Amino acid sequence: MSDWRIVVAVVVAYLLVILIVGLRAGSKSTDTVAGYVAGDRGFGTTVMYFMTGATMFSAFAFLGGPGWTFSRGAAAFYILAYGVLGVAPFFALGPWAARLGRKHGYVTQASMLAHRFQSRWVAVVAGVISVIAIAPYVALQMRGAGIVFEQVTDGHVPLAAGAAIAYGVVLLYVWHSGVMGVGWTNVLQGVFMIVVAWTLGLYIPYKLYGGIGPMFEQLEALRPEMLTVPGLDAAGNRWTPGAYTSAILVSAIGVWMWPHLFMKAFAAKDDATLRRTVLLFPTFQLFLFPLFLVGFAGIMYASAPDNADAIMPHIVLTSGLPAVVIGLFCAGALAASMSTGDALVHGAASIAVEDVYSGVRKNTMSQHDKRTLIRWLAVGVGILGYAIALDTKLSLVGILLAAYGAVVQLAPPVYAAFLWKRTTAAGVVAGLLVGITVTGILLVKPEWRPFDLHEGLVGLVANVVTMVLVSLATKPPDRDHVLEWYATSRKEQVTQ
Amino acid sequence: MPKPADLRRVAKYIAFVYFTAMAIALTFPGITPFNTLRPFVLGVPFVFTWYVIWILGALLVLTLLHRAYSK
Repeated sequence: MSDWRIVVAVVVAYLLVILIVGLRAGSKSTDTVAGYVAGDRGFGTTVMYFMTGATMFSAFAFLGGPGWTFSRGAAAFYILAYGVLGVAPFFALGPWAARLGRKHGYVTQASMLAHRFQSRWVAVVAGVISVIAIAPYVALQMRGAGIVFEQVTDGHVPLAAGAAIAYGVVLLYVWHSGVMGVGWTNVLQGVFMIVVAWTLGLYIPYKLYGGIGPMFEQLEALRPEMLTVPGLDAAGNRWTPGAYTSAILVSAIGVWMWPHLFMKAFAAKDDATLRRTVLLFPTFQLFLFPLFLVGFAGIMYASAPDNADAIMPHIVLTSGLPAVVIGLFCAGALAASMSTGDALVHGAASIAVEDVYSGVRKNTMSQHDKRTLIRWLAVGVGILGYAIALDTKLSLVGILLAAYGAVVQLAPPVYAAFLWKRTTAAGVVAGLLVGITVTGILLVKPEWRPFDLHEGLVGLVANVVTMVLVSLATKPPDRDHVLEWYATSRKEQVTQ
Repeated sequence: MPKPADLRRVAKYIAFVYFTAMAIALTFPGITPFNTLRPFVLGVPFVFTWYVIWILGALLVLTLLHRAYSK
């Protein structure tokens, strides 16, 4: 069988193009942490748009989206709901954070919080929680890349080897180019995956069932319970409204708390660029629509893959498409995985150095040494993610939903920083520790969750209550510092 | 012509109301009356379309907000 070799050739060609674009991009940035992490704060709207969209939409959407629709039906609609809801507050918050970033030189949200609350322990705790949340997210992306290779080559390239190849390329350009490599490769990958998703999403229902309408009519007769929310749970029983609603809330509150997304505020050129990125965000969300159609098409499909997350490649491979098209699909799926994975690896390493390391040991490193340390840690995060990717039994969407429980804990300090002057460092640290502990316990003991609510939401409530009580019980923060910080965040840019 | 600051205040108010309504309309219990298969819209079950409509509406509201801010 020579077909899979053509597919692999297309994929390899694509990986080479990405590598070249990613490596060339690095020659433009300066040899500082701001250059490596925030692109010297100089990204315009086009790059920011695709960078944000491509970062947001990953193997999670591209493989996990159809995977959930296929196995759990309308449960996947939670993803449609949370993206736009979660992004809206950033229209205001983003420019506030960006102004502070320009004035005080932040490159991560933890460093912003540390300065606001005048405590490096805030940065250390927030940094550690960020890295805890990012590791499974990286693992999800690697698994996605591995699934594509394994399916397409009919097992000739196993999951472990496929993940290693794709992330070898990612680490090469992240190492060399930092955020510049991430930005320019994502422009390319963003365009590519949108085209692939819409083409397949409209073509597959047409090819298999004669159109989208006929497909849903057949599904209505056969599996109506798959078509209304909350859909099904992992075991195939009806999911609960509490679990569905809290999945939306946790994800919506948590989405901009992802350090790799929040850090985009520090990479944008000006407020207008940042606002335009938020404005255009729903256009990326719509790209889930064709992906869900593919998942629904899979429910009545003649054969099923062993792993629900492989439904998209499975249909593409078995529905008689030419090898070159299959190759392009694979490249699109890899683009989705890699364009998020690169930002995650880069983000986690930057936080580990800027916040955790610099917070624990007094900051005496040169910019150049920091940049080198970030590079080595990016490799470390890659290896850690790889280990989790090979081990996990969860679905791609399931992995991310669990990771949201950790990342959502960063929301109270971020919102409090901007909105509640009385918040103290002790309150923030106590809140974070209580929140992450409650979430962790309920993750291991799901039967203790009230109303089947997402563990992160319960942790979030505990986090907020603790933060408020401890803040009120401790000495108020330095008034002048807080007022100055507020004034900077609210000040409009003169040149717009 | 209204002043830019007034425009912004109105736009912010509309956005706040819209996104609050969106959060209610897409989660339980607010979703219940719209959680139906029929009528199909362009071949797609109603509740699926319901989610897409709210996303399109968000695009409109954010455009309005952006206009108000670039004046």
